[in-house]
Amino acid sequence: MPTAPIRVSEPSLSASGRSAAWLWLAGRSAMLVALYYAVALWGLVFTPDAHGIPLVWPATGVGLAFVYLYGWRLLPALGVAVGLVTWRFTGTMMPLPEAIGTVVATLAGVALGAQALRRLGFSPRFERLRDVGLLLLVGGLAASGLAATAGAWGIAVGTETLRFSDTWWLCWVADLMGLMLITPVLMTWLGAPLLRPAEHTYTKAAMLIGALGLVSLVVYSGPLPAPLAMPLSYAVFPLIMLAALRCPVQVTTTLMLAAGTIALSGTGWGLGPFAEMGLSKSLLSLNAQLGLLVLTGLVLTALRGEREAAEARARQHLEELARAGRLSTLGELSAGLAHELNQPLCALTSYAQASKRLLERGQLDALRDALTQLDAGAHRAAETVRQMRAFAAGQSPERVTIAATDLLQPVLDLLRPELRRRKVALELSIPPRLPRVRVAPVQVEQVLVNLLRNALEALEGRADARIQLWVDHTGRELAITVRDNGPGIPPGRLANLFDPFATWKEGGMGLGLSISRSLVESHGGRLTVANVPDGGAEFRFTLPVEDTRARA
Amino acid sequence: MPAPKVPQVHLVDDDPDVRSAVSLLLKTEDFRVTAYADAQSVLAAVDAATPGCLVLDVRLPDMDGLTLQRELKSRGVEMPVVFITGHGDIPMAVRAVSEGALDFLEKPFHDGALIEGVRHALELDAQRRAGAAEMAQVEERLQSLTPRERQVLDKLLDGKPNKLIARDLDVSVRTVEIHRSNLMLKMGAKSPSHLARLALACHDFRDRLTPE
Repeated sequence: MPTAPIRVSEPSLSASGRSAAWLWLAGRSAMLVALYYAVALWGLVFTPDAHGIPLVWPATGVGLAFVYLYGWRLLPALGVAVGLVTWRFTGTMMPLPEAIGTVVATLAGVALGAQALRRLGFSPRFERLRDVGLLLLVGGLAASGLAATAGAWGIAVGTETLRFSDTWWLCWVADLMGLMLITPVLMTWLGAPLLRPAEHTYTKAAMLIGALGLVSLVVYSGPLPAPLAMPLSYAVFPLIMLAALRCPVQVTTTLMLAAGTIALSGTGWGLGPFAEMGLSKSLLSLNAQLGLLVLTGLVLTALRGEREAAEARARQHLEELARAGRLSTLGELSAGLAHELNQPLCALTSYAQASKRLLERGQLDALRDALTQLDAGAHRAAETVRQMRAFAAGQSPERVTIAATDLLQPVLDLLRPELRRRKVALELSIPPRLPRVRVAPVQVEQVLVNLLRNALEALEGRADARIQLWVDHTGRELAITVRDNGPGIPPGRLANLFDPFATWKEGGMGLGLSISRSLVESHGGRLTVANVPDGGAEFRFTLPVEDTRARA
Repeated sequence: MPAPKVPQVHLVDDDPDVRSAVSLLLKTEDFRVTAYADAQSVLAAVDAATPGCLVLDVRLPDMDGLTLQRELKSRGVEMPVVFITGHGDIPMAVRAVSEGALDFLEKPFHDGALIEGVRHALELDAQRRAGAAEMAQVEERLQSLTPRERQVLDKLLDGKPNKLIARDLDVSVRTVEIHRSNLMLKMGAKSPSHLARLALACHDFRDRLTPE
């Protein structure tokens, strides 16, 4: 059973779905046979001499992709396809036992290769270097190795003039080259479906396909002299590299197949810079170039995948850390929040108790009023709980386009009891009509809470404690500044203030500012600190303004 | 005096919901309630002559409840205080009670506890006021004594018999008896022990006695 993370929609095997399953298997089998036969037909174009050794043989790669993706159920179809091709192209030259031997050896190579890929945890997305290595290793050793043996043997049996060892080598190169071109395309399109490609992906892919087609046609259609066409044939490399770094993996593999097909076909028909050396040599030389091209594309795809995975892990860590920070903040704020909840609860119970008494006295009008107020109070209490929950965890760190004022409101709601308790005056200066920003609200709120709480703590025990919060913006950036009139940051601490564990507060872990800076930077902004000349500290962070064109 | 003479519950809490709900609850027991949002407004509204009791939140926007309690006391407002709090810690409760708070209720509280507390507080206030009135009366009566009668009273309170008093003051026993019966009448005392109780009940008088 598959161990690789393949998402192939396999039909269910319930009684009602059984016929559908058969239909599905028949469809895939037919697809395999047709494709195998077609690429074999194409491969035989590149048979330089009478011995019938094709120099590119993608058929084995088709078999490997199908058997890897859909399992051994496809082996019968593969057997049919191999038998068909053997019979069609060697005909009566090969005795039946040898023909059967060829079919069995090819089947065994493909089955062994597919099984090895599954066992070794290969993923058809080529997101890791290991996947590229596995495909080359398994393809080269098992699939191509056995298939080449079968092919070389068949040819050696058919013609007495060729030695088995020479033939094997040629067959192996042909098999591996074909496999490198066709297998990634089939695996990526059939085994790693595209997840919500963005609009511009299509544009980019179309432009790349256009450019590659143009370059290949110019090089291989023949009008250019070889000294000019040869260097130009390398123009496909930057295109493939660009695709590998910027486009979904399917685009890259398709481009590589397209480049290979045009180059091989052109050379096979005697066109292009490689055709000058005679078919045998020219194809080997072209194979070397194409091999490097495929390797470049796949390796870059894998490196990009690994980088993206590392980035995703870093993002996830930051999010986990941020969440832990929020929970710890919430814990520290809990005294104030408990009060915030106790007040409405006290009002609610008092209304309820008064209602009971009013009912006993039969004062129904007063009772109705009391119950109405109880209802409204309960909803206000629920709102307080909602704010706490939103801050703690419930919200996902998904980015949304939001007005800056909507970021401030929940933070002020959350901290109001704390400000009141510590008797700190908050001066707000928020201009109307602020631009919108694209942020994960919960994370920006966390930064704000952090800065405001730092200010509150710096103001501990001060009589005229005051925090100023203002928002200003330029065309591209929105800046939020929090300034207190506390003692300021000791000059020696300014430099490493944002380092983790650089705390001088008692009971603090020193992670708040470090997390805050990471969160701001993950939004493309900056968090800076300065001491105010007449006392106090000033923290300021920026957020890039949402592109106004995007929502016009 | 312009202050209302009907005893009132003075409720101080910064939360409008709590004010309205607790007022309503107290009104169902026919208490008269006036609610205030902060310490300053209650300080402006009550004085020593205001009858009633206070229901204070410990945490107020401009001053904490315990400070308010002390401030009121320093202004001569002696109304009993019932504290209500959203986060009653024990040290705070101990402090409040040691400063004379009558009760310390944690929010949300049971209606019975609040109503009992308030009723008790109002009774205490009424008693205190009645006691104060009586004391003022005794004081007034003391002022009406002649210096000689006052001397006789002092000696009587020292437990001296008439004969000894007569000798001390260098008058006849008969004269002492006349003074004594006069001052008993003036003080409205039914017996010597009643006279002693009345006189000692008056702080002012007792204080004047101690230097001797």
